[in-house]
Amino acid sequence: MSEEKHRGVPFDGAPEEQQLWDQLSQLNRAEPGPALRSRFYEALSEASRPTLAQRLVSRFGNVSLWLPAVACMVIGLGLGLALNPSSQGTGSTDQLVALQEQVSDLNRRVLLDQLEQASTNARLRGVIAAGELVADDPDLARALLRRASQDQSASVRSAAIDALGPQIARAEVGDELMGLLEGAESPLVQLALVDLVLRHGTARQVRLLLDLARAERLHPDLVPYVTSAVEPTEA
Amino acid sequence: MQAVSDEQLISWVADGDSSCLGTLFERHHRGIYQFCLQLTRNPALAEDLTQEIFIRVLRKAGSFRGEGCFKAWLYNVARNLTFDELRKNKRRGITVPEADAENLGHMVDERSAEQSAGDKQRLDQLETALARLPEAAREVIWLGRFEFEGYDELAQALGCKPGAARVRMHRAMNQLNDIFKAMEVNPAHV
Repeated sequence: MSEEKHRGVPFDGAPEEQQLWDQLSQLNRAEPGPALRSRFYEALSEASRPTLAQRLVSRFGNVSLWLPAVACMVIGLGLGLALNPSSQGTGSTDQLVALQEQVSDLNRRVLLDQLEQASTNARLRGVIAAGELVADDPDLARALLRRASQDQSASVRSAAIDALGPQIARAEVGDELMGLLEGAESPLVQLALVDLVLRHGTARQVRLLLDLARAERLHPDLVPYVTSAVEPTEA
Repeated sequence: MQAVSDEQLISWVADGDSSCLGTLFERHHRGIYQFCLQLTRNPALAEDLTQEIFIRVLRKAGSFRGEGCFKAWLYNVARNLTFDELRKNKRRGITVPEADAENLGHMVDERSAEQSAGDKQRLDQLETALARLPEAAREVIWLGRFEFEGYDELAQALGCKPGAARVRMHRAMNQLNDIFKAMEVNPAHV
């Protein structure tokens, strides 16, 4: 971004002061070092990561809905074990595994449900939570792609793009995200996609991004951002 | 013209979309760095503060209620954090190694070759005089000269009323003029 020339606030002092006021505008204005930008984006990524408590809340959503069910299962399992000591051993391990599977399936269904909620905040929470599980779950990846391409809120679209993160290297996800890049109307969504390609994209995707920037098929504010980020590494 | 206003972006940050903060950083980090550098006279500390200020903005985004402009609110966050840091350093007895005006100029960029030696000397003197001002006077001059074009926004950034901002500006320019004149009378002090 070019440095803007500011007129400053209106100042009418004594002639000597007025002269100093005019000369102040000729002072050099220091530029920050090149490392500041990368340090900031690292700090931003660290600060944006939800805390353990936030992750639990976003992942498990409304605790009152599922906690009684899980508690009943655990109590039932405990009673069963207590009343039938001979079943301890392989049987109890199997039951615990089955219980874990039920809980994780429940979480998954809660998440998929959250991604379709009417409330933007609920969908955002769902997107953030889904981001942590998406690597092992094609259904979640598809649901996130749907949010990334179709959600009415630019914030949810950007968050879904962020959540897909490293998945961009997978062909089925990467192709769809790259397809969104040119068609995205919101500069925010384009910015999220650009950041994603720059952070996690393959060499081919980065080249494609640069081609789009050079052909000015990205939002005008993003073109210098992309070229300055990619060209030094290319050179 | 900016496609999305700062105020819209910060409202999205408050709604949980931290990626919008990147756009705000790109728009304002140079100005914030230059402001911090004026107050601290230390490039490394100014960079640390710039980063910290934007992370603080992420955490405080919800407290921006759309009253006044975002930029003035941002500079208010910046000055509070910078003065806190300067106070902490003073309490701990830490003296931040200052870059003198001459070095600061070289770190920035070389002056235009067309500038006459006289102009250069006068600008160096002005930079030195500015550095000798108390921090409170330096901040009002810097913000009023380089960042804002009206006293309403300047006042919001300084956390005072517009009338008070105008008075502070006149006092600060008066102080700057006094220091500058003293240096012209006795250049050995430069």
